[in-house]
Amino acid sequence: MTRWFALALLAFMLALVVSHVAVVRALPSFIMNRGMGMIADLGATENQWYTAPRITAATSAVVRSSPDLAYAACLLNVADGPVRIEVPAWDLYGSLSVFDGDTRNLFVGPLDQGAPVEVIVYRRGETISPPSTAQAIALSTDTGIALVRRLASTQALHTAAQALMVQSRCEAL
Amino acid sequence: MRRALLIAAALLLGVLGGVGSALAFSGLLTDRIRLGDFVEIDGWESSWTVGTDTMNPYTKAWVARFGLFALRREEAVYFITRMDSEGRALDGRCTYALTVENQPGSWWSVTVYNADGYLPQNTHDRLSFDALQAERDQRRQVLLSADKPDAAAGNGYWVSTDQAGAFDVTLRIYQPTPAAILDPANHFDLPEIVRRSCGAGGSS
Repeated sequence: MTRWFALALLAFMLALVVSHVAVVRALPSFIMNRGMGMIADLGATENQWYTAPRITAATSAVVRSSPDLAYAACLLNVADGPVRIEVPAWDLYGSLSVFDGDTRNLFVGPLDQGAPVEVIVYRRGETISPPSTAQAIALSTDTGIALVRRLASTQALHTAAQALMVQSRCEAL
Repeated sequence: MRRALLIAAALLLGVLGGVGSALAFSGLLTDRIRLGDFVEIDGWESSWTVGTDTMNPYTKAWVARFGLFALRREEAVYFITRMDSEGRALDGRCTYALTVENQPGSWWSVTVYNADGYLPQNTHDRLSFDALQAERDQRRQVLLSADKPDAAAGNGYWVSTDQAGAFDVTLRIYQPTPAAILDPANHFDLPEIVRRSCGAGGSS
């Protein structure tokens, strides 16, 4: 009987460690997928810019969104090839950032330096030849997200910031 | 049969314990247990490895839940506090004051979020205070309260905590200086949140 109790203890410890590690490792990509799913539910489609409405209590879909920023998102899918992103500059604080499907922030480019920011996002392991004006970003996952943040704490600034998204690109190369 | 049940029960308990401890150590069940890598200054906390490969898995899980799409520290740092200057949990029924000094970065803002990390569900359109407003209005004091403060409360900028419940305050600092990233305790001047009154009668 003692041997069975020892076996049960071993089974308990094994199940504890394996499930603990599995949950901790799976949580970020699980939550990331849910976050991207919520943005898709708002009307965003893959490899196209989605211009978010001004952040208010009623429109905030993602945790800790800032009401002072104008956001735009592009749900990236590089499974079928690279995606080109280009975003114009902004006079106030602004950034273009790229995240992989595991929450890693792979790239941040400033939009307040007077020049547009251009990147090519591709699946790690592929061979690409980006133009000299673009920075190449390798995703470790098929999906990810590109985000534009522009400081726009008034309705007028927000309107001006979101109007710039018409000139922006997020498209399969 | 009894032995098989014993092993099955042990496996089930192990899985439950593993899932529960993973959620708890990631800070998703309670704030009291957390194995993340956090910088703590005057009651404000920030993860210093957000977005990087060096972020430990517990921090990564916490950030995914409470700060999804957070930028790495070279671009932005996010300090969060849930406590007033006397260590009491922030409460949407109370009135607080804080004075935000300039921070070592290109822009900062103060925003109130509810316990789930979302903006409080009110219609006051007074959700944050930022460096541009501070510069434009030449004032640095922020009043956190559910209702618009009267003139006697001073000329602080009102941020509404209506419907906030047990809330937290997030101070974002964009493009922090390299010196501040290296030595945060000696560069960031994080405000005390002082409780002025509490409850319907406004007593302290």
